This record gives sequence, structure tokens and C-alpha cells, in this order.
Amino acid sequence: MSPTISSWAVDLTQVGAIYPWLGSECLLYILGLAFWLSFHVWQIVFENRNLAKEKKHFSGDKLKKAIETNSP
Amino acid sequence: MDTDIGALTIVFTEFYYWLTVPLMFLIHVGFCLYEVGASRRKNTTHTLLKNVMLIPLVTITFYFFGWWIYFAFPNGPFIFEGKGLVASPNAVPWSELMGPHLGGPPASGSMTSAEDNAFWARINGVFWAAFLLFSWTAASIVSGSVIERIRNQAFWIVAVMIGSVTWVIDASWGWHWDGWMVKLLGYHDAYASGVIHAIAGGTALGVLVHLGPRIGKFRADGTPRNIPLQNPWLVSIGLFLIYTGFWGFYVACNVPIIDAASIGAQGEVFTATNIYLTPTTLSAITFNFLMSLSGGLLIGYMVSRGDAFWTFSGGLAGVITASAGNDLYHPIQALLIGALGAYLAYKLHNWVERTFKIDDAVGAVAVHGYAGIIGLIVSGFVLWGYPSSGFEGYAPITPWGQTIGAVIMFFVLGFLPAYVVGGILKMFGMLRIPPSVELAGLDCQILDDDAKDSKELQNAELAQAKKS
Repeated sequence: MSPTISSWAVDLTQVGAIYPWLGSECLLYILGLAFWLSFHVWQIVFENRNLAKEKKHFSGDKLKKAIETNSP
Repeated sequence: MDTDIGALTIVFTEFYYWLTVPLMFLIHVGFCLYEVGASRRKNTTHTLLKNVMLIPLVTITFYFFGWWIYFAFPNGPFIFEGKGLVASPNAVPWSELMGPHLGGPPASGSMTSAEDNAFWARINGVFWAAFLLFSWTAASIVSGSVIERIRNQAFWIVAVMIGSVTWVIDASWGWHWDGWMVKLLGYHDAYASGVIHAIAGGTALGVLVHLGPRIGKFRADGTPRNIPLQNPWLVSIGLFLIYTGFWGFYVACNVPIIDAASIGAQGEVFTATNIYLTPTTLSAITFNFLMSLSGGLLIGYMVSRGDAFWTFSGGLAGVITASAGNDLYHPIQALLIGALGAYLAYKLHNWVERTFKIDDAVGAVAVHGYAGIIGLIVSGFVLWGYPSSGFEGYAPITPWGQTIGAVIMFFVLGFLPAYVVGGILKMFGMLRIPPSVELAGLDCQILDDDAKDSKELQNAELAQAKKS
């Protein structure tokens, strides 16, 4: 794949986009969307698992102790 | 850039908007400190991460669709003359103008024209970023009200909703020189009393209705308990940083330099304008920002009987109330309007809290939402009859136009979407932290692990001490 810019010694009024892989914007957009949505999916699973673990751990005397230790 | 003046105007505008970005970043730093200071020690890390992580999520979604919404939606859903979406080649996320660009001719197959490229190449990114920082602010306002019991997954979905969808729609409708609310209602909201603050307050309220109060907030008889601030100094510094960042917010709401002919005026002169392309000056907004801040601080101190938290919040409410018309008000008008907003925001916060058992941890619904609504309605009376635009065919500013605008901002685009999304999140069990974890503290696992690590370290040190 050839670079978008091959020389800076040109008439700058004729230079437009300067990022690499000009023409691949739609593909980049799809990759970006997938990255964003996969973060939410991963985060929901991660947070739910942690909360379930903490809920199980902090019950009874352990919860009482946590309140006494952590509350102002 | 075909003349020296044209070139200087573009370069100056590029630098001007770029400078607003780090200034507005301080608003976010302020909100983070403020929220951490207002939360209890057992919730510190959760509170901080909740607010910080909205930065990447709102940023990327504002790139993916928020920026396009602003330019595509000014006609509303076919409200203005039955017209639909507006072509916006600079803001479509796969446009060549959404990346580094020097303004030359479009590439083959590009959706942009040579004129688009020449105009947008150097300012698209900085203009995008200035708007993005408004998006962070809108989401961050909601963040404070829901601390200490919301799941991150729920808050981050709400943050994307307000930061990259709903506030951008309201901006396209009512904070755009060509928006249908400006044309048909004469809507005027120069420094975002409604388009940022009222919508954020409405969104916070919509979520809070489903979220419910923190455990222990209300006594058995329904009266509210005070949940002491973890660190009043952090809250103070946070609010002062928000004041500081507001300077960037205000100047980012302006167009710094434009010639009279481009805004429907006469005379060979350049001026700054607000977002509606009607003239104002940096001096005007400097007078009025400081006077409305002062009005809010003075009344905040009086009405709260010297409570530091509500005094500082009163200053913020003062600025927010006067913001709709701070491009035009006399400074003493700004002072009095700011004072009125701070007074009513304080009273309404306490009334809503006691009457409806709404636990708004930092008073965001009042300081941003109620103050924003009040500011819009007041500006309708004070600026009654002023033109909303320099162009032909726009409605003038009126009390009814501003009141309808306030309802659209707070209720239609703020409260309603948040109420629906909050209800869905609640239905799927995604909204609230389990009660035992809330009681133990949202950082309970971190604190537990820290205690174990400290004990292990202490034992290791004692063992070493015995040897030596």
C-alpha cells in the first residue's frame, strides 16, 4: 500500500488528507464501532461477576465488620 | 485561505478553539474532585472511575455519531418546513475531513467538495473537541447526582446517551444558527442554560426516579439525613476548578471572529458572535460571568445560612441561570438573575428532596436543571423582542418561546429519555449496586485487599526487625 504523502516539497494548497490508508475510512469506522461495543459487553460481564462475588463475600458478620471498618 | 486576512482568521479560529479545550478539561477535573469529596471513603475509587471513564466512551461515540447529529438534525424531525436531514460532509465519521487534512482538493470518491475542505480542514478537529468537552460536562453533571449506588455499566450507557445523542440533538435544534427552535421559537441560549444544564438536570432526575436514594438517606419519618462530605476541601477545589473551566466553556460558545457581511449585518468590520451568529464581545461575557457568579455566591451564602457547599454551588447556579442571556444582559441584570436562580435552586432542591424522596447527592438537578429552566424563562422576559438572528425570517425572543424551549430541554430531551432508559436498565437488573455491597462500600473488595496487603507487609517488616 503506497503512502498518502510521498513528498512534502509540493504545492501545499493541493494537499488534502494526510493520514495513511486514505480510502479505508469505512473499514476503520466498523473496527472502531466494534471496539466500542465490545468494551460495553466485556464491562457488563466483568462488573456483574465482581458484584456477585462481593455480594456473596460480604454477608453476615463480614458485612457488619465491613460497615464498621469502612463507614465514617 | 485566499487572502492574508482569510488565512489569519482561520489560524486564529483554530488556535482559539484549541485553547478552550484544556480550559474546559478543568471542568472535568473539577467534577471528579467534587464527586470524590462528596462521596464517602468507602466509595472513592468507584466514584472516580465512574466519572473518568465517561471520557473515552463519550469521546469515541461523539466521533462515531455525535458530531454528525449536530450538523444533520437542525430541521428537527421534519419540523421546519417538512425538511429532513441536512448534508454534513465535514462530520460524517468516514469523511476525509474527520482526520488530519491540509485543506486541499478532495480525494477521488470523497463526499466533500473543495469548498468544504478549504473551510473545515483546519477547524473541524478543534471545533469537534470544543463540542466534545460540552458533552463530557453534560454527562459529568449527571454523574454527581447518582454517586454511591449506581452500577458503572448503567451510568456509562446513560453518559453515552446524553453526551453523544440527546444533548447533541438539542444543540442541533436550539444551539445552531440554523436550528428549527431558533427559527420558529426565537430560542436564545447563548451560554447553554438549557442546552447543557437543563437537559443534564432533567436526565439526572429521570435516572434518580428509578435509582432511588442511598441506603440510610431518609429516616423512617421520611426526613432526609445529612450524609457528611468525605473531604470539604476537595469539594471546594473541585467547584473552583469548575468555575475556572467555565471560562473556556463560555468562550467556546462564541465564534471568535467573523465579518459583518457573513452574519447579515453591514459595515466593513469584524466581530465576535455567539453560536447564533449574533454579535457580542468577550468583554460582555466577562462582565456578566463574574457578576452572575457573584449574585449566586451572595444569595447562596444567605439562603443556606453560610453552608460552604451550597454557597459554592450557589455561585455555579448563578452563572448557569444567567447564561442564556449573558451575551446581552447588563451586568447588574446578570447579578440579579444569578441571585434569583441560586435562591430558587436551593429552595427547590430541598422541597423536591423532602416531598419526593429524591436523593440527588450533589444537588445537580437543582444547580443545573432548575437553574437552567429558570434562566431560560427569565431571559424570555428580559430579552423580549430581541432578534434571535441577524438573518431574515427568524422569530424574535419571547417568554413563550423560551418557556417551550425550557420544556424541550429539561423534559422532552432530558427527563423522558433518561426515564425510559433508566427503567429498562432497572428491569434488567443493571441499574443499582446490590444492597450488601452498597453497605460494605463500592470499594469493599479494594479496601479488603488493601487491609490484607498491609497486614502481610507489616508481618514481613516485623519479621525483618526480629532478624536485625
